[in-house]
This record gives sequence, C-alpha cells and structure tokens, in this order.
Amino acid sequence: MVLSMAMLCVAIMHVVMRYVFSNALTWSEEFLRFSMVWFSLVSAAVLHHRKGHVGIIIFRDMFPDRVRAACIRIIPILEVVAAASVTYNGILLLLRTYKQITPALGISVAIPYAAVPFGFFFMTLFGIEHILDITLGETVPAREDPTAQKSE
Amino acid sequence: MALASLGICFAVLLVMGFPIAFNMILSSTVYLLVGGYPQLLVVQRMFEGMNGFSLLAVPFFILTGQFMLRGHLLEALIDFVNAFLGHVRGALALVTIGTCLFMGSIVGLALAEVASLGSFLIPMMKKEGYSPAFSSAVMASGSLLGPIMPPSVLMILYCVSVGRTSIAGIFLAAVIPAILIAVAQMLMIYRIAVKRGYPNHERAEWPEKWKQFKRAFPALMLPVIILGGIFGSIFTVTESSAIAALYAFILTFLVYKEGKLSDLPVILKETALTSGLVILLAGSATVTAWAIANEQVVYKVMGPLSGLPTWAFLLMVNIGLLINGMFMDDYASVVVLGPIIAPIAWSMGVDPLQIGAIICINLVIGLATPPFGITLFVTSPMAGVTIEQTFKEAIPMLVVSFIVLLFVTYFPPLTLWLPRQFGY
Amino acid sequence: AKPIRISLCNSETHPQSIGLQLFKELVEKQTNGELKVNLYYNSQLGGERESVEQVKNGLLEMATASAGPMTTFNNKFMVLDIPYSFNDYNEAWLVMDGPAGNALFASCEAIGLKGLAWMENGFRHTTNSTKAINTLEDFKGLKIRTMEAPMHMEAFKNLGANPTPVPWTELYLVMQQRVVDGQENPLANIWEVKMYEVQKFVSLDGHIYDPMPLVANLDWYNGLTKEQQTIVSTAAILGQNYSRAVNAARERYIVDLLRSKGMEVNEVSEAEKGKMRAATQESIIKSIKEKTDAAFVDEWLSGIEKARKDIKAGL
Ligand code: NA
Ligand code: NA
Repeated sequence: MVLSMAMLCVAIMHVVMRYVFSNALTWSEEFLRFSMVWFSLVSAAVLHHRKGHVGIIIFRDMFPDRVRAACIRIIPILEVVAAASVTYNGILLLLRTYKQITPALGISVAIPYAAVPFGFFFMTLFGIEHILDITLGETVPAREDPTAQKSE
Repeated sequence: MALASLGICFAVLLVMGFPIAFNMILSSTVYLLVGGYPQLLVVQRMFEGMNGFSLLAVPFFILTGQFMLRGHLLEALIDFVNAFLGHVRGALALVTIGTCLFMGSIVGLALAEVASLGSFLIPMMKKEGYSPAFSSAVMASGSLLGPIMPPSVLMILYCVSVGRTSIAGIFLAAVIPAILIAVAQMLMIYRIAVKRGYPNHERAEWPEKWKQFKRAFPALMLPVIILGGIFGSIFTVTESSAIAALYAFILTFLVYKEGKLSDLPVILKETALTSGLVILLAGSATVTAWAIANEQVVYKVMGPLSGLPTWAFLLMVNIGLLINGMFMDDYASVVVLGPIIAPIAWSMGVDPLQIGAIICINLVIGLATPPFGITLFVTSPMAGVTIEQTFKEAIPMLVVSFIVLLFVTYFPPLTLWLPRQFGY
Repeated sequence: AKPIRISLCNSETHPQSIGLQLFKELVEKQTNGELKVNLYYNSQLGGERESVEQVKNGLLEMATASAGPMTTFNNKFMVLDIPYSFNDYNEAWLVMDGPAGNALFASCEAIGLKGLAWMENGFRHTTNSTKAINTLEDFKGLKIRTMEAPMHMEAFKNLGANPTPVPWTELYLVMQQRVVDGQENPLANIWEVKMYEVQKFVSLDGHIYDPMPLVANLDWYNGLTKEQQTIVSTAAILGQNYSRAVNAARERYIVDLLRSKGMEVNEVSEAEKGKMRAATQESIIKSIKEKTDAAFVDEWLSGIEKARKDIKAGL
C-alpha cells in the first residue's frame, strides 16, 4: 500500500521533472520498474492467498465427480511444486548475480531480483495452506455456480 | 520432444483448471527439464517480463478506474448522456451503451465497468419496464466497450507479450472500431425497443443539456487527459496513466468530495490484486515465450500456413479466437496465443496495429459468450435472471459486434487511418 | 549435440547479424555439422543485459551486447565509454584487436565469460531535429536521448547538451513527440529505426566507437575439443571482420539514402572534434578511474596511443 502510493508520487515527479523542469531524472524510471515488480509479486501472493489467480474451470466441471474431485485435490500440490521451484531458483539467481550493479540506481541487482523468491515463497506457504484445506479436507467444493462469480 | 512435453503439460493442466500463470511456470519448468536447460531461466525471464516501463500503466489505469467508480461521477455521466439520447425509444438502454463508451475511455477493464454501471443502470432499466433479461444483456454487451475503447489493460498486456506493437498506436487503432460497435449495438437496441415499445424520456432542451454537461465536465476531462495526453504527443502511455490517476484522485476526494480516506485501503487493495493478476501473467508468459522462441515454433507453424491467402488466415484467426473465447479468459488467451498468432500475421504483411486490434477485440467479445462469459456472470445476478436468458437477449448485440469485427478485419483503414494521422 | 544458441538484439539485416550468419556457416561447415548454430534475432530470448546474464549462467551458449550492458558485469568495459577516443575505424579496430582489447576480454574470464570477437556496430553519431552540429557550441541546450549509461550522459552534459535516458523501445516515440530534440546512435540503427521520419540533421561526430562483444559461456567453451575451439574462435574473428567490412561499406550507402530521405548529413571537422574531446574526456576518464581499476584505464589509454603510433609508422 505504502509502496503503491510511493510509486504514484515518484511517477508524478518523473513526469513533472521531465516536462516542467525539462530535466529528466536518471533514477526514477528504474526505481518505478523495480517497485512495480515488488508491488506485483506481493500482490500476486496476496491474490494467491485468496485463490484469485484465473484458471479455466469450465472443462473440469464437465468431468464426472470423481475425476473432478481428483483435479481439485491435485491442483494445490502442483501449485506448491511450481512456487517452491521458483523460490529455490530465485535464491540461486540471487546468489549468482548479486555482484552486478544496476545502471541507474547503482544498487545490486539482487534487490529487485529478490522480489521473485520473496513473492513465490509466500505463494508456496499459501499453497501449503490450500493443500491442508482441500487436499486433506473431507469435502471438495461444489460445482461452481457461475452467477456466484467473484467480482475481481 | 521438449516442445511436446510443454504442449501436453500445458493442455492437461489447463483442462484441470490449474491457474494459467502457474500453468505457464510449471509447463515451462517441465520444458526446461526435458530439454536439459537450467531452471534459472524461469526466474530471470519472469523478472524481465514484469520489469517493463509500459506495464506500469496497468496499476495506474486500474487505480484511475477505481477512483472513478464512486457514486456521483457515474450519475453525472449517465445524466449527461441521457440529456442527449433520452428522447429516443429505448432511451435508457441507449444511455447505457453511451455511458459505457464514455466510461470505456476512462477505465481499462470490462469488469470495473460492468460492476459499477450495472448496479446503477440495471435496476433503473427494470424500473422503466425493460425485461430483466434484456437489461442484463444490454449491460453485458455495453461493457465490452470498456477494454476496446482506450485505455485498455488487455491491449497493454497484448503489446507487452507480443512486442513490436506500440501501445499508443493500438489505442488509436481501437477508437473507431469501439465507436462503430457502440453505434451498431445502439441501432440494434433501438430496433428492439421500437418493436417492444420500450419507453423514451422527455426531450431535454439546450439549457438542460448545458447544465448536465457542466456537471459532468470534470469527469469528461479525464478521457481528454488520458487520450489527449497520449495522442496529442504530450505524455507517453505510462505517464498519462499516472497523471490520470492523480487527476481522478483529486476529482474524487477534493472536487466531488465523495471519497472518504477510509475508502482508500479498499481502492488500493482492489488495484493491487488486479495488477498482481495481470502482471504475474505477463511475467509467466515471458517464460513460455522463451521456450516458444527457443523452439522456433513460429517458423515451424509458418511453413504450412504460408500457402494460405491472408483473408483465409484472418478468418481462421477470428473463428478460432471466437471459439477460444467461449472457454478462455481474455488475459490468458492474449499471453498464450498472441505471441504465436501475431508474428505469423506480420509475416503475411498484416499491419501490427491491425492484427493487434483484431485479436484484442475478438477476445473482448468472448467476455460475453457462454459458457465462460465473465460479463454475463456479473450482470445476470444483478438482474435476477439466468446466464442463458441474458445470453439469448444479448445475441443480437453480439452478432452486430462481431460483424463490426469482420469489417475491421477486412477493411484496414478502420483501424489504421487514425493511427496513421498521428504518425504511427 | 546441442546447437550453439546466440542471442542478438538486432534484426537479420544488421551488420553484426550478417557477421554472425557467416560465423554460423563457417562453424557448421568446418565441423561437418557436428556443431550447429541457431541465431535468435530481435532479443527473442531476452534483452542485451539479460542475454549476457543467461550466457554467464550457462543458460545460453553465446550472446552479443553493447558496452553499456556489459559494464553491469565487468565495469572495465567503461573504457569503451570514453568519448572521442578514436579518429577512425582503423584506429578503433587496431585497439580492439590488439593487446588492449584482448586484456578487456581476458578480464571477462573471471566472471565466466569467454570473449570471442567484437562484432561491428560502428561509430555513434548525433542526430537532432533543430540544427546541424558543426561546433561544440551547437550542442548547447539540445535535449539528447542517450542510453541509460551514466558515462554517456556525463559526456553529453559536458558538451553542453541536456541528456535524457529513454528506453530503446520508446525512442522513436519520444523523438516523434519532440520529448527530445535528438539522439545518438550508429548509422545502421539510424537507418533501421527510420529516424529520417522524425529527425532532420545527422552530424557525424563519431563520439563513441561501439563494438558489440560476442561472448560465450566459459565452461561451455572449455568443454569443446581443441579443434572445435579453434574453429569457433577463428569463425568468430572472420565473422567480426566481415561485419566490419559490411558496416563500413553500408555506412557510405546509408548516408546517401538518408540524404535522399531529406536528412542533412554533415561531417564534424577534426578541429571541432578536438574541442569536443577537450570538453569531455578528462572528467570522464576521471570518473571511470574512480569506478573501476585505474591502472587498467591507463593501460587502455596507452594502448590507444600505441596503436596511433603504429598506424603513423606504417604510413
Ligand atoms: Na477502456
Ligand atoms: Na466467453
């Protein structure tokens, strides 16, 4: 939240400096891009917590009950596999690249790169939570009534 | 071998209902494993996919829309359109489409539009004696103008995932098609309204029109800032999105004074979640794009297609996307299919702006086609009808929209004339 | 065996791409198809910085990149940012192919990169939409788009211009919208981006020589047989030389084409270039020395001096 307001302020400043003072800031663009990556990955993690990432459920709802239930139970496990692998590789990438310096801000590239393992670490955690909820749970959610769609 | 594993893995996970972003990550991971490539690529490509200055426009346009969806601004806009269209038969339904077009030039998403306008206009239409299914259908088809009329989050996502297409250019390319679709839908609604005897309002006199214009003026300035800023060569798309967000904030909190500071967390949260969805998709699509480039898929597909005349290829694209739109989400489709279809069209000599407009407009129409039609899902419960009932009433509007799309496909000046005037 | 995948940021017709096409032909023929080469144009596999990172981490076999992105991995590459270092191509090539260029490549091995050759991008020249730049004073107040390279920006500040960093993808747009007055690029790019549509003047000031190092993953390279290594490195040099020849021949042709499109092209005199050199070099060398190995910078500069003497002696 604070980050998104900061982004808006810097973006406005970026525009103002460029037009009003005709003096481009060298660091603002890079700052904005990196903060957006952080902002998006944190948001994506929160969205994952709410099971909000779009999937196409229409086909699986055509399946017989048992197949459908199996799909629903397997999905969180695969999500954790995907998220955990990204987290792991993200950390590896940090270790390999932290010595590189970004051109404008002059900071280690590890600072922007870290957003990826950070976001996906939390997605892994939330995915484990989904496993506990669904895969180990007694019941599988009913076929979705499309009129009850969330309004994201 | 590696490519086959990518395709199979993607298809199986898709059918299972696996979230698209995770699907692209996981199937690309499998691709890299089978192909013997290091996994680090996933992270590196994903980061680069999210690290574009253009993508920054996404959260800002969403934020602008969120600010604009509060009460009085919408009413002012509706009253303004009513002052001009109110005397025609089926007035309120026509006003709905007109307002959708105006809102479309402010918001970048169909859902933002349908959720806010629908909660006002559907009850109003029902009260005036429109059938609930028709009210729902009008709203569902009108809201398609949201992502067609610029700004459009879908088109930004398209340009970022496909490349070689200017965002401002595609925005310009979509203006005339958006207006044509609005007019076509209005004509269709007018015909139905005359046949069914739906009511009109009193003709507003010029002083009344002037009054409504003045009231809506601050809101009407927003499209002027967004579109004028981009097309008048004052701002880049990203800069104009930031300025628009600032202006909308001032409007909501300082001019109309209907926003409360306590609304801010909700607004920011909604913005964050939608941006997170879109930008993560952009990032994970970049991973898959590496695999597609590495396998030189486009060259492989291009071979068999090269014998096809361009018109047949475009017809195939349109019909294929229409079927795809019945089942697939528009964002997912654009990141998955855009990078394959667009380069083939370019090699056939189709202008990047035109093929971009065709793909995006087609996918937007898919938002209102069942079984998976997100705007139908939102408007139907608002009107208290089933999705089938809404869709049945929406068919005429969707058919004319598709006909406009065919005109756009086979008559390039509709998309290219305006951008060319601005040098794109 | 797996193909040699090379990531390039330019299109198929750019001189460096043409040079690498020769490289591909030579390698495939001489190894009897044992080594295959795939070229990925237009940053299909990622941008310049990203591609070099992929090579470094073994995700790709080879990539080319400009000096700017290279400095994020090895800040010795900053020496290539010293403005007005070379008077002509002969000087530049002699330095790049001589001990100075080799030392620069040698310093890449510590970070896992094997430098093979310097593909040609040519001298960078300045274009703008308001006036021909003939003298140092003509730079005054011009808003010039530069890469996001601190040394390039400093150079243009020293010339009296107002440097504005803009991403390559937005370059055409900002020129068209007059957000900037001008930009600086090699002639090949000036032609490829159709800058004649949005710019009026090309001033051949050749402020920076911009070679594009072709780098390979060191472990991959060391894993080749001795014979393959020889074939690859020889083909790289031949490709480099070919790209230089193609570029030099094309630059004369491009100048004519740009003129026919209505652009005014002017040479900047040696005397004025000397003034521009005087205005920029000292402070830039100073900042580069602060940021990287000062001894290396001195070695580099004396390498340039020596090359210049050798050329004179040859005459
Ligand atoms: Na819009
Ligand atoms: Na649909």
